[in-house]
Amino acid sequence: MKNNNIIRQLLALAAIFFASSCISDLDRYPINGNSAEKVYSTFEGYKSVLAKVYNAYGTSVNEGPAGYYDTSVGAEGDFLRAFFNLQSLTSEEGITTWSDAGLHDLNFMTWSPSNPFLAGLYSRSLYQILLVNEFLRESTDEKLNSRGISAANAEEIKFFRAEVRFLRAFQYWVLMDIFGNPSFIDENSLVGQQLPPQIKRADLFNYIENELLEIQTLLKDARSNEYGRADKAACWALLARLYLNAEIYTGTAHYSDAITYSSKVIAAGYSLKDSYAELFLADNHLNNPEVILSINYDGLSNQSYGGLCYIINAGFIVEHDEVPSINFREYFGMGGNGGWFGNRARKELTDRFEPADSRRLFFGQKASVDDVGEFTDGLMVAKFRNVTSNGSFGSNYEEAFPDTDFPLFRLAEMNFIYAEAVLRGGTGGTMANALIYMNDLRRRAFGNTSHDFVTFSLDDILNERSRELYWEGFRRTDLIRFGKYTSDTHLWQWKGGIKAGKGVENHRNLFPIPASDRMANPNLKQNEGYETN
Amino acid sequence: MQTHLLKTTTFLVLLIFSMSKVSAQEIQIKGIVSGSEGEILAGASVTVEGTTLWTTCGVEGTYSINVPDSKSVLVFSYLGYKTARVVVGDQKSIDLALDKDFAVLDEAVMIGYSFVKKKDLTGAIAVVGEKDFQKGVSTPDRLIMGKVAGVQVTPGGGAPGSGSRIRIRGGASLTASNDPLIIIDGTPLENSSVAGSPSLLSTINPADIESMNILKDASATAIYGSRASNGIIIITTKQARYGQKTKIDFSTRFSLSALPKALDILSASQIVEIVNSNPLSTNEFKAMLGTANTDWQSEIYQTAIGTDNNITIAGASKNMPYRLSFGYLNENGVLKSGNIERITSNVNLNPRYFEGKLKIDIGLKFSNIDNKIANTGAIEGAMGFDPSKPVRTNGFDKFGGYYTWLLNDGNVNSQAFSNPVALLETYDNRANILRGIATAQIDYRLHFLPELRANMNVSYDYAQSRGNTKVPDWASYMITRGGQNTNYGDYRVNKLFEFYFNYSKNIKIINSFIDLTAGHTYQDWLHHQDHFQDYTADGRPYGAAPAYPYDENRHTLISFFGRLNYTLMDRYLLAATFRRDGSSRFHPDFRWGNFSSIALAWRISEENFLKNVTIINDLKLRLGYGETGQQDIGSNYGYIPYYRQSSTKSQYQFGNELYMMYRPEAYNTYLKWENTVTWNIALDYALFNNRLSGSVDFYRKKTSDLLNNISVPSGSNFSDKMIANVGNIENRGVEFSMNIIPIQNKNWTWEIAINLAYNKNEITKLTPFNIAGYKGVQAGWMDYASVQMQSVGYPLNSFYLWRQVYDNNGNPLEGVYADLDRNGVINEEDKTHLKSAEPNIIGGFSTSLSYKKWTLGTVFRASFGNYVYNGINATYGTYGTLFSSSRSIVNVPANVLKTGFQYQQQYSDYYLENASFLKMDNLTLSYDFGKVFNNLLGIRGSFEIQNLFTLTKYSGPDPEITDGIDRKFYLRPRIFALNFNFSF
Repeated sequence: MKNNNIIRQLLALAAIFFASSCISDLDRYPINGNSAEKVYSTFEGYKSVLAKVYNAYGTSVNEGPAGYYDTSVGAEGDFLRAFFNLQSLTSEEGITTWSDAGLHDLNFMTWSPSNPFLAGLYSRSLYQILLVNEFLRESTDEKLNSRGISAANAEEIKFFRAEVRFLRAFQYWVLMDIFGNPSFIDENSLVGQQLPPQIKRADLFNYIENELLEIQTLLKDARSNEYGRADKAACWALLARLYLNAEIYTGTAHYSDAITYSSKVIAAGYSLKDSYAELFLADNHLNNPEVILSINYDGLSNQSYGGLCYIINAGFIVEHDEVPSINFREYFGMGGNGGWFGNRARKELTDRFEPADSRRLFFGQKASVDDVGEFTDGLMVAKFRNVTSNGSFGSNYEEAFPDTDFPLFRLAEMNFIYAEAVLRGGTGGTMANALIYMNDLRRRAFGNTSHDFVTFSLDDILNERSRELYWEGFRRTDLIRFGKYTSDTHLWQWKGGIKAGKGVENHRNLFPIPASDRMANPNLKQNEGYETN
Repeated sequence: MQTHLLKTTTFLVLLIFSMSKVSAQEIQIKGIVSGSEGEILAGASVTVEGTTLWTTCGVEGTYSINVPDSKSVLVFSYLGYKTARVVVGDQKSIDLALDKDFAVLDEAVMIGYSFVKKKDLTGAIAVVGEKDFQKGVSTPDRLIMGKVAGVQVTPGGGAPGSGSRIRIRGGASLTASNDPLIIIDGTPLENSSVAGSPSLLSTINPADIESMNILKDASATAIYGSRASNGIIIITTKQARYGQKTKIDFSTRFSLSALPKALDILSASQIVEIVNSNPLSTNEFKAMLGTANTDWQSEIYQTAIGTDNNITIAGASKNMPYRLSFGYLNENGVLKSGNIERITSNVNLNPRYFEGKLKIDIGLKFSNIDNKIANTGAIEGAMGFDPSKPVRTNGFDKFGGYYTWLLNDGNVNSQAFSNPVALLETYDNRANILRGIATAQIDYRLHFLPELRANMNVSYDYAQSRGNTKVPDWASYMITRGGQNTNYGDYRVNKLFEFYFNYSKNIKIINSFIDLTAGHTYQDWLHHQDHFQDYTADGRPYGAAPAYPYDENRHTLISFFGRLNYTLMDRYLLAATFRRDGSSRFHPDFRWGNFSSIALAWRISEENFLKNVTIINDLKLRLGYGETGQQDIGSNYGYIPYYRQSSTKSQYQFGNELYMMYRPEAYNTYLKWENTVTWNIALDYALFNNRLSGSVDFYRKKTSDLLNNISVPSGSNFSDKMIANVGNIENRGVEFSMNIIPIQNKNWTWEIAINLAYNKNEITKLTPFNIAGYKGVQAGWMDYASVQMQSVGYPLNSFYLWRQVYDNNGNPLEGVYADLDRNGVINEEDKTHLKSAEPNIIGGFSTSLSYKKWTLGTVFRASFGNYVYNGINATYGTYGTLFSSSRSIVNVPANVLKTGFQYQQQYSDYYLENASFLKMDNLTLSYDFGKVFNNLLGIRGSFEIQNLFTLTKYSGPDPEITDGIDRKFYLRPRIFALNFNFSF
């Protein structure tokens, strides 16, 4: 019986030990994961989260160039790639040879709600907003106090909060402009299986306007923040853009407000960069008095296959049959596997330029796109490049990742907004100033005054905007404001899917709510005209 | 409470004691019971027929029993042996050797935490013993290929040591694992292996395996709760028996492997002709033509030799049966440069103490694998590399002499195929895999209450991998990154602690047998993954330094379980199980799950009306119901919110500074296991003196809370897609198995085993709410094209393609498809659900014919209704591929001559083919030389051929492809092997 007792006691011990203490072993955590408490315990942690909030419009990865995508949409969920495709490929600015799912539908304006770039942009914009909301929840005064963040640092974090609210307003502007009536979430929406409600375009306009008017006082003064971070001028610039298009969004014009806020930016001390071409080169973060806010890339340290890497690579071919003398990998500063020959301009864009215009950055001879699949039909656009103003390559020529930053807001746009708002009857500005602002751009383009406008019409503004701002993500919005996007009187090659071009249904002035989101969220009603899709 | 328990047990003990003592004392018989090989059968039962008198044999196999008179009949029985009846007569001493009994109803079957006699099984459990295994395989999973109804074992490829995909009764999951739970000697394994390991079970030597039990329905598997939905395979390794004489076995095998069939691609002369005449060709292509005639496939494949040697020493010293085995396997791959060298060792010690009341089972498994992994990129290269080019030629010294496609500037053309011979010869990828599994099981039958057993089971499973890939900097395909020197490695630790009580008792007064088990298990799996800096050949860092030196993934499962087996009158059986599982993979609020099952069986043959029908040996009706789960969902931490730090290549610039980023990760608080409910109804039969036996099973499996990767509304979580429990799936089927012994006499034995299974699979729900227009989940990726769609109302892995339109001669018209919605455009809406990659019917046929010392055996396997998408033809079989923009000539499948397609038509159902097949897996002729050299040595020899032939309509080289998409596939070789066994 002695043995029995020992064994029994051992068994009893074992049973007690394993039945009680080990239940807590069911709490397992990733060793390389960082809890919110750990991340936000320092000011540096806050700034690293802020970096992610910003870079959500830069790349869609967490380990560049293609590791740990933020969403499973992957490369199509890259902000600039999707935004460029929707704003430019659906207009005379661009056309792609690629036949990836959905791209030809953008070329031809025949998209359906299942177009991958719609889902890509929609989810990307809301993703950045989600990051903003999370940042706002984690940076309340109460949390900063409880985490022992110093008063000085807490002051700086208050600026962070205003900046991320600006980024949220910017992405809501994108959603309002592209989709009209998107899902709506703010810092009070909880992360989980809650279905976001839908917001009406006009209501969203009010939300964006109120947010921007509130944070314009909370942001750092114009030109006083670090490069790449938003300041008051960025806020005014977005307000100006919002008000210029207000009639489209709400039915009520706000041209005087557009004048007010574009004037504020113009008066804030920005000036046009001397050389137009240098605005879009690898060292455009240096000596750049014109750019108000940019999306920043770095060939070594901020890599992805979207963003400017996409815009540059998709826009050139290594050996162009019509320009045999140039090695375009070297010309664009994109070695490696650079040169994906997808996007180029349509005839209507390139025909709009006078030969002396320094903004005419095209290669090739055949402007007419007879064959959509032939890259050399239509001129090659050499606007964004990964070479510096002194001709050397960006930091990562070998792998073809650019250093070039993308200008999200620059002074030139403010000149146009001012001029157009004045011409459309806004008050608070003068025609004389408008003419000066327009001619400032002309003089930079031509290097002299001989191409100055004496007078100008609205159509002149639209055309001048095209020459100045092509491939910067403006065209679709501009054409809609002028009523020309879907019309059968303003045509371009392959509009509507035929070479001569034809008008398309008016409901295409808005993109549809992406099918994937409608499937996941019964709160979302489809936009008018797409209901049967 | 405790005293009460003590009183009760004391009472029970006394009761039992008094019952066994009721006897008159007439004649005393003594003796020793042993097995036919001299092994002592301690615990064998000796009963007097027609009475309640009985005893059991002691440690030495001795017994002593008093019988009423000389007409008494003694019945000797022992689990796994044939029962013997002896009339006492005037004998005083009866020594008896019992014959081993294969495939009989008294055989003990491991069902998880306990053994049950085969005749008392209530669930759908198939037992495959050594005798029935597939011959000559090097990994355990292939032992049961074609042997069990409803179990589909699809070999994964032809590389040495490669594994298989196992499906039991069809898949029940969409995104979670469909692999069964595998348990080796009581240790449940995780179903993934370390890096560089040829396959999950490649570290286990099949020669050490005694049996594999396949638990198919939920009434059998539910005791394993949240891991049981896909069935369970219980592997038991060989042990020595108590009192066994020392025995040494040595087996050796020599094999030759060769590729049975190569890809049908164009020859050099065909390429020359096409390049010179096809309208797509240009002068540029014509100038690229070479003059050689190289058959690249024969350049990369070889006839490979292999050897497998095993030595086993088994015996018993006093109380300690032992079995030690050592195996040495060395196999070359048919793809040149591949090789596996494996050393395995298995030690089983099974000491018994206190008249067998205390059993200790210790198992130590060890294996070391040196795996030289061939560059399988060469398989695709051998298809696509221009046959008019030589393997090596002058002028390519800087690439090691291998012919290489160059650009005009003399640089390597990175868009062209790489020389496949160079891919093999310059690629040096070696992995060393070590694995040790130590298990200790202590089973103690209490002295004061022998019906009660306490069992403790502890096991530790460690597997590690260390590997390195080297490519010289002059190798053309790595020239831009400067060659390669890449280390990789990881290890896995799997710990188990298990404790249970088992109470079993034969209560004769109420003619009942009860067996109760209750226990607790704790299991923990750790995967440690090292992250290494990648280097170029000359040691310069390549790419970013890893953000973390290593990562560890860990999950834990804690469970409580119980089982009741109740048998009334030896013919009414009831089995009920319960398990409560807690998994670290889920949020505390959703972590615990209960899984239960119940099964009833009726041994009709034991009823009076059938008992005397001599042609019926056994007839049993089984009914089962159970709930099981699947928690192998791919992620260990899916419910936890956390932040992921970015790498140095993802930093954002503010001012002149770069900042690393912290990203909040998506999480699903509500994540839980998938739930499967199974019904099973079956009939087991054995007729004509057990010469015809088998089962018929009908089942229905309904999985709910199916994990699907659904679109979550943008803005609701930190990703657009999330795994959530939203779907349902159903499997229904019939299984039929039959074993026949048509001839059994002195010189001849002929045995046949047939199994056949029909399974119908249907997805019944995929989304949390009904969504108009939701098509399903894209699946079946061939490069960037999805050719399958998981949709409600269709079987898993159904193909989803356009319907090809053909001309009057039956040739496909390029780019012309049926416009199903008649809207004049061919788009997504015109794709339609077609057949599935999964078969409707699978079957196996094994037979062996023995004449005296000769035995001829064969195994056939068949599969019907499975379709394969010929991805090789679809992706490469066009003139557009031949004349691609890669500035090289690309060889293409000969199928292009039939279609004449200029451009890829990846979504054409032309490429979807019926891949039903009948395969002859194995043909073995063996001869038993018997005992030679004064009975000192036994010799057996055999010659076998594996993978003899395949009958199929499928146009590719092999119709048996796991997911139904034929990519660049390492084909299974045909193997010729000679085996010798020596036993001392």
